[in-house]
Amino acid sequence: MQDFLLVLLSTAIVNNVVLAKFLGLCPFMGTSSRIDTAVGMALATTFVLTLSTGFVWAAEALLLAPLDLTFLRTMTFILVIAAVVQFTEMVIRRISPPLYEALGVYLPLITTNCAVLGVALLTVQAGNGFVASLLRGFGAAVGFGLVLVIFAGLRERLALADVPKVFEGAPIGFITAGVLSLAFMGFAGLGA
Amino acid sequence: MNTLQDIDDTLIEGLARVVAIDNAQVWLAAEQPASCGSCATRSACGSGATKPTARWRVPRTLGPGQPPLMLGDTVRIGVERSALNRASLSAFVLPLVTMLTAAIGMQDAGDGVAIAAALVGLLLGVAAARVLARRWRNALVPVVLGRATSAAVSSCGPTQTAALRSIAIPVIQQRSQ
Repeated sequence: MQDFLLVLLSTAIVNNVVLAKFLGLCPFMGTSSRIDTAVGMALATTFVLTLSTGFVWAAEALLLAPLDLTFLRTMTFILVIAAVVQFTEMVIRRISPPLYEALGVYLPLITTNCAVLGVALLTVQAGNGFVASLLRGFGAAVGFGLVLVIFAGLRERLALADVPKVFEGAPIGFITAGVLSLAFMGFAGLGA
Repeated sequence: MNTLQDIDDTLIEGLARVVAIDNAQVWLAAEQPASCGSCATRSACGSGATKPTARWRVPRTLGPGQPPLMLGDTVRIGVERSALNRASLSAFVLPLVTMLTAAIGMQDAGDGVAIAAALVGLLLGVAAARVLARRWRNALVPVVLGRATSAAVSSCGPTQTAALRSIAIPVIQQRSQ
């Protein structure tokens, strides 16, 4: 159990997918203007990223590695991720139509979220077992959601701040993201 | 009684379009958010391709002195923030928790068994989420907050519609999909 907690801590905070690996910066900047949208995107991404990590591990272990087709890894993973997103969209539409209408727009955006493919590739390359890989995906997703919501809170405050005109909008957003990244560097070495 | 500030704080706003007129009432359908409607590849994308379905029936008149809603008009709707958060947590997080719990519980039996357990856990979680979604369905019925201005409909500008936030018209009838 302690190993699992260390995996979660490491992937969510120490090796944060956004602030340490710099993956998923597009949704990080694009959907963090309001906390409402950030929470919706974070939850949807958490679900898809964890699920796709599991399916990708199974595709690698049961299909690509035995058949020596690892050169098709990236293409196969993209296919798996797209299928998982479509599956998720169908399930959410089925079980809760109002929720789909409110948050369904984030699901197609996840297909093009490079963090999902990046985490899948990094997880498979790490060579862990199924459960550890699943937890790595979950931890990375929690880390993504965490910084997305924190950043959305900061940007809501920034919208009210007196920012010099040349820094308004995206520039001050990137500067804030850089400072946040420096803050997360303080976790480096934790749990090692 | 809810004050103006209470309504703003507890509701998450969205847009709906008038898709049918039924005497003194209109049918509304949720608008697909702007990022999907304005995407350059929307003609080749299956997401959001379905036509909006008429979901909620509301009075045609939004208040004294305001013109009645016409076909194609866009209105702002609000859904209770806590209900939406609860629904999204149950739909997205509950299946994950059951899947991870099942996989961790069966990890000693090998990867194959852990995969099977994870799938069973996922399906159980989805089934539980569906039961909860049905139970909380009425909490996700929106209220109409007012007619949307062009700034609210546009994806480029902020929603400057504070002047219309004093109303909260409940839905008369809900049609399930």
